[in-house]
Amino acid sequence: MLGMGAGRWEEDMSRLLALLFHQGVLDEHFMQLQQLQDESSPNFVSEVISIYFRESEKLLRNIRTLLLDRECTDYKKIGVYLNHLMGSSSSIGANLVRNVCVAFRAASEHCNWAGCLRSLAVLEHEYCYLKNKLHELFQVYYIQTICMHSS
Amino acid sequence: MLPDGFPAGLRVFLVGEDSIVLRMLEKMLLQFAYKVTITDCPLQALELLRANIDNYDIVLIDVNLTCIDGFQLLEIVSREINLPVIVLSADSDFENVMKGIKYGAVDYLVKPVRLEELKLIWKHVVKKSLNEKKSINESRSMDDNISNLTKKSKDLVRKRDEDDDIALKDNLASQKRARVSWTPELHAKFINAVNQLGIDKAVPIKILDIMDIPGLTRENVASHLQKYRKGLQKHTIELNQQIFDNAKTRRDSESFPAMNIKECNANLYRNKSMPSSYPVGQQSYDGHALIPQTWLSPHMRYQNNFCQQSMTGLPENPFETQQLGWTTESYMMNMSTQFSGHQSINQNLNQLDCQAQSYENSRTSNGHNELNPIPQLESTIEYDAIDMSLNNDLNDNNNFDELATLLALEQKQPQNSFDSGAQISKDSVDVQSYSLEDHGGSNASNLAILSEFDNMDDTDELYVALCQIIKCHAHGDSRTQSPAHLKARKADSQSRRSSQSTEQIRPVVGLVICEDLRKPNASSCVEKFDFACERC
Repeated sequence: MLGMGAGRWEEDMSRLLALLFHQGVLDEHFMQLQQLQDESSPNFVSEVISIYFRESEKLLRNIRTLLLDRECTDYKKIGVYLNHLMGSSSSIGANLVRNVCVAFRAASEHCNWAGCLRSLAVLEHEYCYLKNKLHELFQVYYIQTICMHSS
Repeated sequence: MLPDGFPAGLRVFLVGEDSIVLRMLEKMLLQFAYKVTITDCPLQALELLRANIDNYDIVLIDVNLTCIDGFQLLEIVSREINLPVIVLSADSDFENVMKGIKYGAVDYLVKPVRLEELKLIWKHVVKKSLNEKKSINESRSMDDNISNLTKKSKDLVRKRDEDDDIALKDNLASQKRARVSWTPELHAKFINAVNQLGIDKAVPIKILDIMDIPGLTRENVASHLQKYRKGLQKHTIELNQQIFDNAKTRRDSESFPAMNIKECNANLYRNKSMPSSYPVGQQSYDGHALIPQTWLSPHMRYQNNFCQQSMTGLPENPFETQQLGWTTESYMMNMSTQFSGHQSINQNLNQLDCQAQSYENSRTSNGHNELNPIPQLESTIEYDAIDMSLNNDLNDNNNFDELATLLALEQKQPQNSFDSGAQISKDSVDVQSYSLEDHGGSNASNLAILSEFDNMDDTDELYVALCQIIKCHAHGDSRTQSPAHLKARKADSQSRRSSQSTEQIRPVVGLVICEDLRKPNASSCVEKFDFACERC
């Protein structure tokens, strides 16, 4: 399997990427991120993505804590967190997550608590989807690398 | 002049809190063969810059910060550090971009930053050095032209330019030296000295003597004076003139409406017109009030007649009062949008001197005013600029918040500055104040505002309006306004900004499309977008 699978895994990865692009989950900035990886930093992409996951989860937790309090008044803070999340997501090319953040930010600026809760649900959903897909992508990528090295 | 191989080797200083963005930008910059210094602590950034200004060519600031306001940092850096500063932000809101430019940024980049855009930041470094060269040349050629002037002005101009020229040359020569930090206190002393001498006669040497600060050099004062003069010329003087002109015309009248009728063209609402019987329901909420051009006529029964009614103290009938409330609200909306524009233009002055800072400080320190009374307009203008940022208030209910808000804001301001402001409006009619609760038939200080709107720019109207309000407040009218009210209205007003709606539509569409594609989730997720659709 290892010896002859390299091509197949590559195909899988391309197909997965194409799907994600098609769905709008990722955009061209993801490609730009990949291009930044070179010999001097061979694990750049995976490092950045790991940081992204860590930071985003922290942000999402913070936002959730703020919103769960029914007497939520600090919409400004939520906006700040959202800006942060928007910035990171757009930088790595997580287009869909960024768009949900934009809608969420609008709801927070209207101090619309129910709207914010709904946006948060959507945001967490989309974030999980992105995370799963990226994990899948990396798995395929690593297997492909192993295949290439072993062949 | 430029190093070999430029722009390779460009030394970039990057400040931000988002590790992803920092890492990616660092990688990109390294790929261009630029040298990068990164700090993720904005407070530390300032110290680093101050200490090592020689080591950097350009500064990039991410304004999405949590520990301090990114734009404040931007202002401080661009004021103190003589390097081109570029703003990095997650959004491209008009106000934020304006803020960035007004605070001195040479460019505004929106995340995600494109490779090509980032590569070209070196152009700002070149531009800045070319501009500095040009201003040296200009001041030299100005010296040449002096022979065409009369002797008296010649002497005056020559002396002033020499000082400025020297200061400029010194500045350039000592670009690498640490700059004097013009703190509010220092600037207050400076202003004091300038006023004592008179703006035209103020020369750096005399100013230096009056200020009597050890360690301050004539060159520092000269360059600061140059900037100050430029700022004054642009905004203050014409404003001053207009205010005085208006004040004169108002002197003789007793009743506000009658007096103002001839003068006012209600420029606040230019290009808007509305029949006098405009029903309440048709008021627009897009930030523009609809009122007739001639709404200030004395015999009017227009809806905007709230001022007149307020003067008499009796609403003519409940319905009309309601209409008044409505109109004023939209008036306030317009005021608000104008205020925000007003505020951003004002930042020009704030950039040049620390009045803004000083007002902030004095507000937070319970009204303790460390400033000397400062000339009328500077104080009111800067004050207006800062406080207008809080004043974009709109209300869902028919409360006349705007003026109350303004008055509440005044309350926070130290009394001294109001007194100094009194000089401008001493010829104007004393305006009655406005209370938050009594929106039906209370006295109107808004008349003061409205009265100033003839042939003035949008921004100037507001200046004047505020001057009037400040004046009437200085005369002892007291307002009660809770900070909570203010906050609530502020939040509310932000929600009224129409710019958000377009942002909402796009993501909704995008999301719906994606949800369709991702079949397992489609049905459950589409309904979640209803909230966004409601708003669209």
